[in-house]
Amino acid sequence: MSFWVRCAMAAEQAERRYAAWDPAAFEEFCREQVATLAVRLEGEPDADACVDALLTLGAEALARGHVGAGAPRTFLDLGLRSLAPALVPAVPAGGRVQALARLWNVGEGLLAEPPWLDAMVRARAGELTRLEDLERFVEAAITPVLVLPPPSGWAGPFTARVVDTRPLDDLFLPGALHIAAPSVVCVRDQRRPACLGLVLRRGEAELMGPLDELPPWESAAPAPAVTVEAPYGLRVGVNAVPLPQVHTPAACLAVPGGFVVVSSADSQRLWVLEAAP
Amino acid sequence: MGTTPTTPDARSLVRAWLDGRARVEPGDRLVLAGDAATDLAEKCRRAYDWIAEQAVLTAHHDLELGVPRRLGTGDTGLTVRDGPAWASFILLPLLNLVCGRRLVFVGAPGRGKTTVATLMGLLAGDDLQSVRDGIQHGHPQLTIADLLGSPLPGDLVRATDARAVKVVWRRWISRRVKIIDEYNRIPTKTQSALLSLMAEGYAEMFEQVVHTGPSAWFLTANDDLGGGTFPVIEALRDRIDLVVRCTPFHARHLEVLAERIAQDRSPEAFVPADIVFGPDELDAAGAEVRAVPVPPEVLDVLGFLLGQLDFCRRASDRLEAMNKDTLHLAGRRVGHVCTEDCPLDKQVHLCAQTENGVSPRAYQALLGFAKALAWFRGAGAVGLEDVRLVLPWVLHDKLRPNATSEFFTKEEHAVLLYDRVAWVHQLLDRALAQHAAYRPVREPVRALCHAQEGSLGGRATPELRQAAAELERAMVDLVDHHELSGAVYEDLLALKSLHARVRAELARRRAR
Repeated sequence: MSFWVRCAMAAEQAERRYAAWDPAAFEEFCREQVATLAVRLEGEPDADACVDALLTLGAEALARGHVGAGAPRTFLDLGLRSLAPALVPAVPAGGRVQALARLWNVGEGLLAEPPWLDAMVRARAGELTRLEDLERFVEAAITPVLVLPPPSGWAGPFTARVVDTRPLDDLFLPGALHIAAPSVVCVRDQRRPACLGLVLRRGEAELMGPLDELPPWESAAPAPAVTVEAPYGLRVGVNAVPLPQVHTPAACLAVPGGFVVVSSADSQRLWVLEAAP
Repeated sequence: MGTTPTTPDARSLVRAWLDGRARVEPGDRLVLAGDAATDLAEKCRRAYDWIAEQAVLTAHHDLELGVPRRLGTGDTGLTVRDGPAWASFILLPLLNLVCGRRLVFVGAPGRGKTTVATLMGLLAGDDLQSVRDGIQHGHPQLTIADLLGSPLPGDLVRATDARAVKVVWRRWISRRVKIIDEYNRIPTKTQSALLSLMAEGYAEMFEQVVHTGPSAWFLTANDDLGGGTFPVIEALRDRIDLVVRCTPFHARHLEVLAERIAQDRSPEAFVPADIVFGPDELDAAGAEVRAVPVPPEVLDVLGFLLGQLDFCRRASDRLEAMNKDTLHLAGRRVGHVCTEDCPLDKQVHLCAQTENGVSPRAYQALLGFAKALAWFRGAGAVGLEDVRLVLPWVLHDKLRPNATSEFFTKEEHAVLLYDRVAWVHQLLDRALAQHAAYRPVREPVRALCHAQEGSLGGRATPELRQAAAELERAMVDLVDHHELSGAVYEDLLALKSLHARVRAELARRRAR
């Protein structure tokens, strides 16, 4: 059975199955992602099975709105549109359909979780080079953000760490900040509709992104008030913290676990202050 | 999310995800299981979207939410709202399917009444041929046996006892979706058999009983001008919970119609599988709908409106008989007494506008459909807007205007006699305004009533005497300082009935 006959049959079945069916979007998915996979698997014994599998998953994802146009909005979207055509061919024959099934199950599982978890995995998807490593990759991506930071006494002295946003986005100018997850701060660009994620752990701070703007997460842990204290400093609760490199703070945010994140009106850097343990 | 500072939480999360819907069967075939955690309201919304966009063509989105905004100046402007809008012709049948109630489509022939009813049958999981075979077509020769079934002739001949006669019941009776086409062409005698099914959920013949089970009823009726119709018995008409009007075809859909003819394709030919509800799903959806709460403030406004409609000050001098039933039982109409002899302002008081009040059955239907609409919208509770949208359709045939009322002699009100929906909306809007104005009077009365409800047995006798005195004082205050309107009447009845309860308890104690 030819490739396009397979696609047409899948389209016909999908139209009878799904109320919200967009035949044009499915045709594009076939022309792009499925065709790419088919070409890369040409001659392989499981090529047809892989094509059928991706058609089934693509139809379901399109009908449910999990896959769309433009930049991928979820890990599942990224998985079906980019990772599957790119990485499935490298999986040994006989394990490719299983790899697709696992990719789907992880992606769909992430959709049922808070959106920041999916965003974390999607932001690091470039590190996934083999589908056989999917489980390990996802665990590594989500572990840092699942761990709640231990409560802090917010005592000085505060250590300062500088995080440069330019390696991830050389136009990014950090601005507004909000807590998106227990250890994750969402940093919005001052000038563009762009966001990065800042993951905070004892002794380290890691940038992730780009991300969609994440909804705010309400922390039950108390945090001290942070105010700007001239010149070039902050007051964190009762502690005066000098910050000579920040002349005009754009935003300051206290994060549970003893962190204060500061963005500057005129710098592409972020400052992370950490209370004494 | 995880609270322990170790990676096993991440591991167990990922492992749980991997045990998902996609699995590989022998032969390297990927199979995607159905989504067990279906959001039934979301499925219902998908069904609505599919019907509205692919199946039934209508330009009439007359169920509108949001803040109204007037467009245009002068008399011929129109109102738009900033919220979503739905076609009643499509949404209300869907809600009826979920609620398992009784709906009648009215309108001229060929407007899609049977088509929409058929789609509801398909959404309930029946195939097209079964749905069509199961439609009961009303006609003047339809007998009870045609409708319900009958014994086999052989059984009748052989039997020596009624219990030995086995009735072969018609299969449509046990279907989830029951469609009666042109029910107003069914002879009166056969209507009684239908009434038993619709009202009681069972039918009986030769001492055997058939139960309908959970059912959503869809009846159709052409207008009476078509001829060949029988008067519908009042009890059957009263069992209809909702009236839905079929909307005229709009010429912008002519192209689609032409394409359907060219392709010989009708939307009933295939309904996408992911909007078909199984029996368990319909039961679960019905339970979800019933669980939607109705806040007290919504019930209060609803009670305020509907409580006024039955009131007629001139029907009697006795408080309990000051209602329109009193007039009707005496063979009189509201118009006979709603004259200048009644001191109430006909332009203000809602009781002047209606010939009758609303039965408890209509209250139940109204609350049921308001819950269904709130559930469909994804709202956590019923809002006044839900009540506003379903009220005209529930009351469409149940609430009759007092056409001779002075209210309708005003030019801007005359059109309300033709447009039931606009008329009922007007009643609700006035009731809302009056409810707000009457609140300072009503709140102390409600508080007093609330304090006196509940069991009286555990209360001391002096306390009960004091309660009786308080209730009397409240009644005196209302009677002496406020015009006896529908709203005051409702409060007086409530106070008096509580007063009677307290007096009865005091009398019981004296008798001991």
